[in-house]
Parts: sequence; structure tokens; C-alpha cells
Amino acid sequence: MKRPYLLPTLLGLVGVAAMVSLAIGSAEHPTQEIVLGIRLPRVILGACVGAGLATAGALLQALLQNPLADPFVLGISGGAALGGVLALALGWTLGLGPMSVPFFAFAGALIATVLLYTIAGAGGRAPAHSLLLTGVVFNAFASSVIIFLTTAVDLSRVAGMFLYLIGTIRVVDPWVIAVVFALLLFGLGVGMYYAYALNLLAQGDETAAHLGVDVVRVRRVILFATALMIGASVAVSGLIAFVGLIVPHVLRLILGSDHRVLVPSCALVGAAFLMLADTLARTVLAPTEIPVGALTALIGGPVFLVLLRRDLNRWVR
Amino acid sequence: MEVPKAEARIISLSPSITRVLLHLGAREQLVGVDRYSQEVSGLDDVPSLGALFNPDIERTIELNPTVVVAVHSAAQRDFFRILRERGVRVEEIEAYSLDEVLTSFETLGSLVGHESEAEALIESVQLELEELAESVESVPIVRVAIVLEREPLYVVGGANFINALIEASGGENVFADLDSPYPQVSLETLADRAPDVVLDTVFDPSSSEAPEEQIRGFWKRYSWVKRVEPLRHGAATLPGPDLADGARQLMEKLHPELGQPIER
Amino acid sequence: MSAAQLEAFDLQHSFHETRVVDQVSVTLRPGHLAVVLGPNGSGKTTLLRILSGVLRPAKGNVALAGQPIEKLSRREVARKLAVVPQDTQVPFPFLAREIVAMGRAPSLGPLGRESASDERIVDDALASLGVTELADRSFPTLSGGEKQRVVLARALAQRTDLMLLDEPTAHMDLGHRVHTFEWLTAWIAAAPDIRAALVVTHDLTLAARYADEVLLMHAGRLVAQGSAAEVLTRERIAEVYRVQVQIEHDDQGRPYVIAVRSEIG
Repeated sequence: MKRPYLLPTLLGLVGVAAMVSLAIGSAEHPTQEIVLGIRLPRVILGACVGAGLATAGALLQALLQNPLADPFVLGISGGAALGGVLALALGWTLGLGPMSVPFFAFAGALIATVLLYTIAGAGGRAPAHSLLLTGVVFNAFASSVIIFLTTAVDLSRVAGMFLYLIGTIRVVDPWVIAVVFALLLFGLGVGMYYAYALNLLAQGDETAAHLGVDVVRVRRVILFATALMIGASVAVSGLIAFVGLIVPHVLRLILGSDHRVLVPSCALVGAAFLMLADTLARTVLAPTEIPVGALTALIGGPVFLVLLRRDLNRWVR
Repeated sequence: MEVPKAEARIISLSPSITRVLLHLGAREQLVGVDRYSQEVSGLDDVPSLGALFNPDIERTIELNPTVVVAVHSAAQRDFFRILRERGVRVEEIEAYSLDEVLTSFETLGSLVGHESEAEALIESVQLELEELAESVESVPIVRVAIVLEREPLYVVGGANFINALIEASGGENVFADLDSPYPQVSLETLADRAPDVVLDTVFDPSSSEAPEEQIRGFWKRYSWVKRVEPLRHGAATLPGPDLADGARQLMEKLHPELGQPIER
Repeated sequence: MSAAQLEAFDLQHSFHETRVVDQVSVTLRPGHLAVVLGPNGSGKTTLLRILSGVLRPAKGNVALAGQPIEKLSRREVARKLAVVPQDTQVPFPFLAREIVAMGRAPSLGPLGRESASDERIVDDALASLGVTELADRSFPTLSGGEKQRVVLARALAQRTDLMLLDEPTAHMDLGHRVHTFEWLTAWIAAAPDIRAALVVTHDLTLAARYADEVLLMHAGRLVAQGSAAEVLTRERIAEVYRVQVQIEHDDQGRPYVIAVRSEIG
């Protein structure tokens, strides 16, 4: 696609996705109150979460030099969920009020990201399987801790803890939406500012250094921004898998690998993708809703396996 | 070999079942309960077998029960199988509608040899519900939705005993047509069905903040919510022996203009 | 003779208790093509990583244009020194041209916006390595030898005075190997007062033919240093490579090495 047409096309896509999402729902008689009071916040939040996860996926993939990196698969979403559930179960607030759970989700995401990088990414490019194994182990650890917590807390809190893990766009205050949006914009800004450095980092840590990148500093900033976006997304939507994998992957096939184009495109397409997926989740079995996380996993699981098989072939050969 | 029922050594793995058993006078036969039963019914001297989802199998066998009663659960199939292999009678209670709940009282009564007490309980519940229904006959019906979880939104459906309690207390469940005890529905559907009152069970009763305050934070943003009241988990939401009290609590919430209903 | 561009003194480094670089001192003089030879595991790549500043040696120091390399920012180093790594695997479908254009990175702003003159430099680099026709191909789909030429073009596009190359011809056919060494010689010859290159290779014959200076490494140490004729003797090759060779000389007196038997009698 020609670059001058790209931005209008993607913005158009986001606009159409938003219109469709606002127009369709489970209510038989959608009043203005329903459309503006219920659908609109959800559509906005869905767009933020989709953009955040897709952008975070693209950044992680460049940083780890691995196209299979995904916030969910690598256990970063799991870390965020663990942080959120810990705050819920143990009633940690740090005096942050309604922002306490999101704050701990972010802390969990950051810890998981740093662990992942230290263990699997030590000394440059880690092969796919060591990254994936680290993610699997971290996810298993997180769910064990969560299950342990369910036995330790009051019964009335157990259901809430499990439901927190379900990938669905939550109902939050408008100002929480504003915070999530601000965090997303910040992460996206960082991603776009360092998009060219990401091109270089995607060549490997040493090559990036040979080409003048201060690898340690850039990596730190990107990891922080990634954890911020994932933490914000998980805090308001639980575990939504594979958006960070599918969107960057498809866009690389169409647009190539230049992150200066890829990163903003991921944000826009990720937003449109999750708005539409959530609309499907809201309506297909109405009045019941499917968790949108289940829907993305349904699409993303097979895609991931195909990519993994291709990648393993490369390593086994 | 059939153990005489009076000598039954019974383990209950559900707080509601425990409450029914206690009501039927089976206190002496209880040799073990889950941790929550212990808390809810104050059974400090009855050994605890842990949380609902992972009862301690060794401890369970050690207590040498003749009967284990629990809520039906596919996840605990193996736990139940091991007990059955050891000759322990395992009774899995699966009761959602009012009829099923009342039948489960009968089942529990016969397990511990307190059939007549069970029969009396069933009769009194039925009678009280009928009386309550009569007392609100002339009052306009209030359309209600009972929220069991907010995110995702789980409500009381038509196949739930709470649905019958709502009907007995002069209300109409806006989700009565959904043929499931705990259907998950979208928020817009709730708005679409426009209940007169939303009864929300999602709040922390031990918090210093009043339940009204806690739920208001969530519902205040929706102008279509005409009235919202907190509903404490208990008689109205758990299938225990005090179903009629539950119905009276609901009536209070649905028809505050009637004042406190007369306790029987 | 002008001042040394890259100078390393008494380098020492170990991995897991094994000394991989031991008491090595190297001086890369302007106008020189220096070739590092040595069997597998003799420490050549580690030496190159130390010289490029990405690996801090346990002992010793490296000076680039008279300054300690660790005192310079990566950007400053990258403007003076281009590195061609041993193996370039890129898991993403970057175009060959995009890879070459990354050579301009040290001279660009943080957003990497390229000017018309940068584009021209990239075009020239592609043409110089004969990979212009590969420019719009996806890098991961190129053959090993094609990838190496694209990466050489990236190093050229960096417009540095110094190049460090780690087995740049390993995947190339005979013709491209010879071309690459001729290209490197010509690149230095175009500005002999400032340019210099250090190449790690296993090709003794090409090394002998094009090197101004040969450094022979064995078990982390520099065992010989000098002209090809001085360094590449039968006895030394037998000792270092554990192989019997025959050494012939061309009409200009440069040695070429022919392996005879793998066992030492």
C-alpha cells in the first residue's frame, strides 16, 4: 500500500469499526441512553485495549527479535492479572482508591517483563522456545498463586477473583477510561519515538549497538512502555489473548517491517480489530455475552500454532 | 451393610447444605464440614476439611464418614469416586429451582433419618410463601433484576429458586424468561428490560463503607437505573432452610412502601 | 606513518574460566588490511567483539582514534567504526534496501528520517556491492552469500574510516569471495591515509594474497604477526591447525597454502 493512502485508510477503518460497534448490540430497543451510556464507553475502551495490546506486541517482538512474542503467551498479561488479583484478594490499595487494582496490574506486568527479559533474553536474541517456555512457566506460576489465593481468602471474594481473569471489556468510570487512554498514548508515543531504534534492535542487540543504538537504555524505556500498556489493558479487560500476536503479524505481511509505519498501524488496526471482536462477542449469543478474550483466543490459537510450527522448523532444520 | 441412619456419620461440603442439616436437627451426626460451613454456622468444634474446591481427602477418610453430601461438581468427580470406592455414600445435591431445593430438603432428611422434620420444613416454607404472596396480591407488581456478579453481569434467571421468591414477594423477575439459574447477560439487555429496581449483591459487607455507597459507585452513571438497592447474600440468595425469610427480605426491598412485613 | 586508528593493548578475557583472549595487542594502521587467522575457537570473534566495544575485556584497553572506546557513546563509535558480524539473521521481512539504509542510522536523528543525500549513499552502497537488483527483496529470503553482500553494503553506507569484518565471505562462492577482498582493498586504497580494515577469515589463500598484515591466533594468544610470507609457514600451520600443508608461492612471492593430510606424522 502506498504510504500517503495508509493513514487515511486506517483511520477510515477505525471510524467504520466504531460506527458498526455503536450501531449493533443486544438491546432490542436501543435508546440514546443505551448507545451513549453503555455502548460508547465500551467501544472507546475496547479501542484502547486493542491498540495497547497490538502495539505492545509489536514492541515486544522487535525487542526480543521474535515474531511470536505476545503479551499473553509470554506471561506478561498473566503477571498483570496476578498483580490485579493480589490487590483484589488482599485488599491492597496504597491509598490509590479505584486505581489500586490497575496500579498493581501494571506492577505485575513490569515484573513479568523484566523477568522474561532477564531469564530468556539474556545476552541477545533468545530462541523462540526459551521465550515461550518462560512464558508458560510464568503463566503456570501466576495461576498457581491465584488458585492458592482463592483458598486463602473469604468466599465472597473468590468469584470476583476468577471473574477478574476473564477477558472482557469492563465497565469503568469515564476518568478511568481517560487514564487508560493517556497511558496508551504515552506508550504509543514512546513506541513511535523509538520506532527507528526498534528497526535496528530487530537486527539483534549487537548489530543495533554497532549501528549506534544505546541498547540498554532503549530497551529499558521500551520495556517500561510495554508493561504500562499491557498493565493498563489487563486492568480494564482481564486476559485477552493473541491480539498482540495477530495484528502485528498480519500488518508485517502487508506493510513490511519498518516500525515507523508498523507501530502506529498496529495501534489503529488493533483498535478496530478489538472493537469489532467485542461487538461480535456482545451480540452473537445475545442476551448472553461471550468473553471477547475467548473469541480472540479462538482465532489466535490456531494462527499462533501455524506460526510456531514455521518457527520451530527453522530451529530444528 | 446399611448403617442405621441415626448413627450416620455425615460430612457436609456446602454451607447451605450444612444449614439445612442443622435445621433438621442433625447436629450430632455431623463429623466434618467445609471451612465456610464452619464459619457460617459457627461450628468451631466440627473438624474442617478445607475450602470448597479442594477438600482434604485424607482428612475426609480419616473421619470415617458414612455419608458425604456436597453440591454436584464435575471437578470433584475423582474425589467423590475415591470415597464411593471406600463404601462411603456420596450424595451430590443439584438443586436450582424451588421444587428442586425443596426436594433436596427431603433427600437430606432421609439421609439423616429426620424425614418428618424435612417434611415439616417443606410444608412451612410452602405455606409461608403462599401467605406472603396473598398479602401482596393487591399491590402493583414491581419488575426486578437481581445481580449476582457485575463483571461479567450474572443475574437470577427463570430456573432459579430466587425467581420463585421474587414472585412470592410481589415482584416479577425481568429475566424470568431465561431458562437458566444464573444466566450471563449483557448490560444493554438489562437496560433494555428496564427493571423498576435492581437488587445488587456485589459489595463487601465487611467494608466500612455502607453497601448503598459501594453499589452506587457503579450504578450512578446509568440514568436508566430507576432504583438500586443492595441485597445481602443470605436467606434470599442461598438455598437454606430460611427461604421464606428470604422472600420477606425481597418484599421489603421491592415494596418499601409496605413497611416491615409481619414475622410469623 | 599516520597515527593508529584502532589500538588495543594487552587484552584478556575469559568465559567460564577459559581464557579465550590472552595478552593480545593489536594496532590497526591507516591504509592497512589486517587479516586475523586461527582455528575454530581460537578467540577471533571474541577479539573482534572487544575491538568493536560491545564486549568489555576483563583486562586491557581499546582506543578508537586516540580515545578509550568505553568513553565514547555507541553513536560516536558507530560513526567511526563499521562492523560486519559473522552471521546476520533477521526474523522480520525487512527489505534488503532497508537493511542497507540502516547503515545511515548513526548519522540520522532519532526518528531516522533520511535525506536525499542519505538515499544517494544507500544507492551507491548497493551498487558498489552489486546488490542493487536485490534491493526490493525481503532480506530473510536471500541466500547466505547475498545476505553477506547486503550487510557489507550496510557497513559501506555507514561511511566510516574503519571496518571490522567477521568471516564476511563464509557463505560466498569463489567469485564473490575474490570480489569482496578486491572491493575491500579498493575501498582502503581510495583513502589510504584514513581507512583501514580488520578481517577475520578461514581462507588462508585469500588472506595471504590481500592482507597487508596477518595475525595468527591460537588458543586465545597471538602466536604470529607480520606479512603473510612471514606468518604462514609449514611448521606454524601444522602446529596451529594440526594439518600437513604444502606452501607454494606466486610470482610476487605471496604464499598460497594447499592442505595435504589431516594427520601429523
